[in-house]
Amino acid sequence: MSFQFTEEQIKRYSRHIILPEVGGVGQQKLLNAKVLVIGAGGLGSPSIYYLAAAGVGTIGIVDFDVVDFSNLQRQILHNTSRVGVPKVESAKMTVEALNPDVKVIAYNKKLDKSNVLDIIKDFDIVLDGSDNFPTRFLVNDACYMLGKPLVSAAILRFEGQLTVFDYRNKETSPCYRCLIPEPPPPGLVPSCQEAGLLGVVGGIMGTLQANEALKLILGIGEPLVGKLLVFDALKTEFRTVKFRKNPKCELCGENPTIKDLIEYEQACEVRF
Amino acid sequence: MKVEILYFSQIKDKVGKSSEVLEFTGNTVSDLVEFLAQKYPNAKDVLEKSMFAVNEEYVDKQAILKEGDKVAIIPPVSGG
Repeated sequence: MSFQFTEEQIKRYSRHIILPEVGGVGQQKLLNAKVLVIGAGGLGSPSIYYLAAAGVGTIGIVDFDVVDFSNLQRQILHNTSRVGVPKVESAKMTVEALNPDVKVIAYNKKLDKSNVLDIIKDFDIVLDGSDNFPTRFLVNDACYMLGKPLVSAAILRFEGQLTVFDYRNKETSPCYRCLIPEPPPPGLVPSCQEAGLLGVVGGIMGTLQANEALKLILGIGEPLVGKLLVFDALKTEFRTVKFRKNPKCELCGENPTIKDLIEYEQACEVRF
Repeated sequence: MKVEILYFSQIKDKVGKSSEVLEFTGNTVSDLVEFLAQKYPNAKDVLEKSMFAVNEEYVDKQAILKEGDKVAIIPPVSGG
């Protein structure tokens, strides 16, 4: 296989290319890959930044918020001069300054059942870094329907959770609803705005999401499928819980009842 | 029977500890949840919507517990 790398690319990606597990072939896979990141916030900032540095050629970013001062304690794609700027625009500027090889596709909109399939369909992998259950269920169901691998992380206070649903293998991979059958009632699970978040927890979990995405693109290692990783920042402790497909799951079980996308209410959640 | 319980996220904050060994009467995860909901009424709602793992394997509430099991109670989180 011959590569079309420029001198600059050979230097830029030299630490990748020198890894036998990546090499020129792997770097070319990264440059050809298309990854969609939901949310350019606490999780999306580090994942997008590392995917861009790694040379993931196309990164789609979905977010409908603008940068706020309260974001800057953790959302490292943004900065003080970008307050008031749409997050996707701010993210695009940061990524383009880091790596001109990356094409950013910015979706400055709220995901709903009318647009989610259309946005996801052209990407290879989806990273969920959204901040609410309705979006998480919508993204999960859409990825399941389209057969796209989903790297899902969530954070609150001093803890983070991470897992991978590989919907390229629907027969074997559990889904998000096998873990959480339906959204908890609004108000039961606090948002980061309500309960706070140690900023670096987003950095750790978002970086782990990028790691899972890179492994999936390169086809190396073992993706975190069927395992929920729970991180406790105060103890600096990781625990892994194994889980399987739930035969009674309403999305991926033996007698599924969910055939269409569902938009859940998020009345009680205020975003920041 | 006696089991070890590990609490995560809001449950940990509501019960005020990250783990404990408890003696309870019953057989299933569901029985344990009922027992804990009485002991910690402020955690009842979150307990009922949490994920449960026994000896590091995810289980449903009908799962049978045995002496010495390590039960992790993990509320779902959605922050990003």
